[in-house]
Amino acid sequence: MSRFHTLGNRLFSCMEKSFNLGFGNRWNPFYHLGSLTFFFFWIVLISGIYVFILFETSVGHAFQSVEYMTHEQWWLAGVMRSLHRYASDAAIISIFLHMFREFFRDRYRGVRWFSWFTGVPTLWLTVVLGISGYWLVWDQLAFYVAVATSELVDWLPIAQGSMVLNFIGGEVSDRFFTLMSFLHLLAFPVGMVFLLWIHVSRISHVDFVPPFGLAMGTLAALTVLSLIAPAVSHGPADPGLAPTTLHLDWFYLNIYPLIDTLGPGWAWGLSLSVTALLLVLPWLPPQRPEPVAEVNLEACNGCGGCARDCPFGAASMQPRTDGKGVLLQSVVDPALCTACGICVGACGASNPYRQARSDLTIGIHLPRFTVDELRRQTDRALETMAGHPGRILIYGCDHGAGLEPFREPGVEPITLPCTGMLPPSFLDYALTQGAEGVVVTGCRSGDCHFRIGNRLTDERLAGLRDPKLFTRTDRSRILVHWAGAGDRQRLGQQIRRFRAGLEDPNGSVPVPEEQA
Amino acid sequence: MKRLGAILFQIGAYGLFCALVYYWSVNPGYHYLQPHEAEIRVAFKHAAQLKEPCRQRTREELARLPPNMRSAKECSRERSPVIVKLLLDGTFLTRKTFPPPGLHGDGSAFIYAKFSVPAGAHHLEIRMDDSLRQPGFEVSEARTLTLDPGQLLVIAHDVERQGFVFH
Ligand code: HEM
Repeated sequence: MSRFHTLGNRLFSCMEKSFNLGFGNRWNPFYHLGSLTFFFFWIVLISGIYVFILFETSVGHAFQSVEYMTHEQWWLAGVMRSLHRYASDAAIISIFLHMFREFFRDRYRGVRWFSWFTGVPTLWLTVVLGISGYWLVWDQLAFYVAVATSELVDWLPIAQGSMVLNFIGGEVSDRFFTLMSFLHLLAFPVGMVFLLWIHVSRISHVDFVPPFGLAMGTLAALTVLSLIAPAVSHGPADPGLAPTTLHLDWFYLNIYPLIDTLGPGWAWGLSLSVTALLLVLPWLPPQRPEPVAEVNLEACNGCGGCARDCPFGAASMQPRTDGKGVLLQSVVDPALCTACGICVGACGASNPYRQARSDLTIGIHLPRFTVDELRRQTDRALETMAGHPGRILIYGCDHGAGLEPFREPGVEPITLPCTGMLPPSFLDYALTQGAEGVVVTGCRSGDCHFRIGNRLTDERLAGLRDPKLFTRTDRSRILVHWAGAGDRQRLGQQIRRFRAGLEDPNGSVPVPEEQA
Repeated sequence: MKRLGAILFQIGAYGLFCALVYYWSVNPGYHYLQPHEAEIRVAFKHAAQLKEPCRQRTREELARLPPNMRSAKECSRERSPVIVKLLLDGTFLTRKTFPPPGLHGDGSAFIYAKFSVPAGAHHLEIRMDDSLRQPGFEVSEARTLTLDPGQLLVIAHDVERQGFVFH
C-alpha cells in the first residue's frame, strides 16, 4: 500500500510541478480540484435552469423540445445544453482527480476520514444525477438507459419489480417521466447540496471558489467545446426499436454495458464492492494517531488565534472554566485534531523572547513538538552555526523538500510538523540571536499537507494576519521559498543565492524567483 | 518568452481537458446489437396456478371455525413456479423457471428474458407451464414473422386471451 502511495504521490507531484510552471501556483488546477468541482456544478446549475425553461416535461414533447434547443436556438439554448453536459462530464474528471489526489497525498486517514467517507455517497449521487439527466432527453439512448436501469432495479429482491414493463410492450406513462424530472431537477440536486455540506462540514477555511483566472479559463474552454462540438441527441425514443450503436457518455453510463454483458447482479455486486472498498479505505491500514494539541489553560489568554486558524475546526473558543478574568478559553476536539501545530503558530503567546529563563509555555501546545522544543532547537542551531560566515537557519516542514541535505557549516535546518506552526516572532528571534538570514520553506505554495499552513504563514509574514511579523524585523534577511518533495534542487539554488547575497554586504539580497 | 510558454501550456492543458471530456462523452461507440441483429424480449407478470389443490373442509372443521371464516374450501397460498420455453426455428433459446415472489410464494412471477437474434424470417414458439399439478405446457403460441434489423419484439402473456401477444 505504501509503495502504491509513493508512486501515485510522485506522479501527482510531477504533474503539479509542470502545472505550476504553466499556470503558476495560484491557478494550478490540481490545487483546486474540490472548488473546481463546485464551479462545474455552478455551470451545470445555471445552464440547467436555462435549458429547463425551454424543456417540456412530457414523454410526447421532451425530445422535440431538446431538438429545438439544439438545432433552432443553437446559439444560446444549444450552447447551454452542451455546457450542461460537458460541465457534468468535467466534474467527473475533477472529482476522480480530487479523490485520487487526496488518497495518494495521504489526506484521508486518521481524523481526516470524515471528508473521505462522506465523499463516497456524493460520487453515487453525482452518477445518479447524470443518469437521470440522460433519461430526460427521451431519445434512443434515454430509452436504453430507462430499460437497463429498470433491469437493475428489478433485480433487487426488495423491488420484486417489473419496472421494465413501464417501458417495453406498451405505452410509456407520463407519470414515470414526471417522477424522473422531479428527481433530476429537484430531489437529487437538493440531496447533493446537503451531502456536499456534510462533506466539508468538518474542515474550516474551505476553498469553495476556484481562483478567477482558472474559473474563467475553464468556462471559456467548455464554451468553445460547446460551440465546436455541440451535444446532440440520438434518434427519438421508440419502444419498437432496439439500439445498435449507442454513443454512451462513459463518464456516467459506464455501468450499462456491464449490465448487458454480465447481468444486473454483477453490476450491483461490482459497484457495491467498489463502494465498500472506498468506504473502508481510511482504515486500510488505520493511521497511527499522533498526540493531539493540548490546551494549557494557565497560559491561554483567550485570544482565539488557534480557533481562527485551525484548518480542521478542531480548536474552538468556549466559556472559561477556570474563573480567570477573560471570557473564553480554547478547547481542542481530539476527534478533529491532525496534530499539525498550526494552532501553536497562531497562539498570541507564542513568542520566544518570553520566559527566557524557564520552559516556554503557551496557551496551546503540541506534545510531539512543543514550542519550547522549537526554541531549544533554534538556540542549538544558532550555537552550532556561530562564527561561520553566511549563517542561515532554515525552517521547514515534514511534508516539503527534505532539509537535512542542506545542513553544512553555517546552515542549520529545523523541521516542524507544518510550517504553519512557526510563530513569526521566531524569525526575529533567530536574526537577533545570531543568524544572518532565515529561510522559511514547506509544501509548495498553494498545496499544504495540512491544507493552509503555508498560506497562513505568508499572510502572517506579510502582516495581514495575526500573529504578525514584527515591523522592526529586517525582511531582506528572510527568504520564503515554498518547495515540495521534488523541488530540493531548486530550493538549494535559492538558498545558495540568498546566502551569497548575505555574504556580499555590497550586493543586494536577491529576490527569489517565481515559486515552483 | 516564459509568459508565452505559460500561455501555450495553458491552451494545451485546456485543449487536452476538453478533448478528454468530449471523447468520453460519446466515444467509443457501444455496439449493443450488431447491424444485422434484432432483439426479442419476453416480459410480463403472471400469477401462476396454486401449487396445491384446494381442499373441501369437513362439517366438523367448519363448525370449529368462527362463523365469519367458514369458507367451504381451504387453499394454501403458494403458487406454482412459471416455466417458460422459447424456441427459435425449432431450437431452444431458453427454458427458464421463474419462482413466485413473496414470503409465502404467493406473488405474481415476473418473467423476463432477452435475446439478440439475426434479423430475417423466423419461426418463434413460446410455451408456458404455470401449474405443477398439470403436466406439460398449458399455454403456447407459435408465429412465423420477419424481424427487421434493430427491431425490438416484445412477447407478453395476455390473461384475457389466455395466450401470448407479440408487440
Ligand atoms: C461531488 C464532488 C465533490 C466535491 C464538490 C468536493 C469538494 C471538496 C472541497 C471543496 C474540499 C475542501 C478542499 C479544501 O479546502 O482543502 C474537499 C476536501 C476533501 N474531499 Fe472532496 N469533494 C467531492 C467529492 C469527494 C470524493 C468522492 C472524495 C473521496 C471519496 C472526497 C474526498 C475528500 C477529502 C479526503 C478531502 C480532504 C479533507 C482534508 O483535507 O482533511 N471528495 N472536497
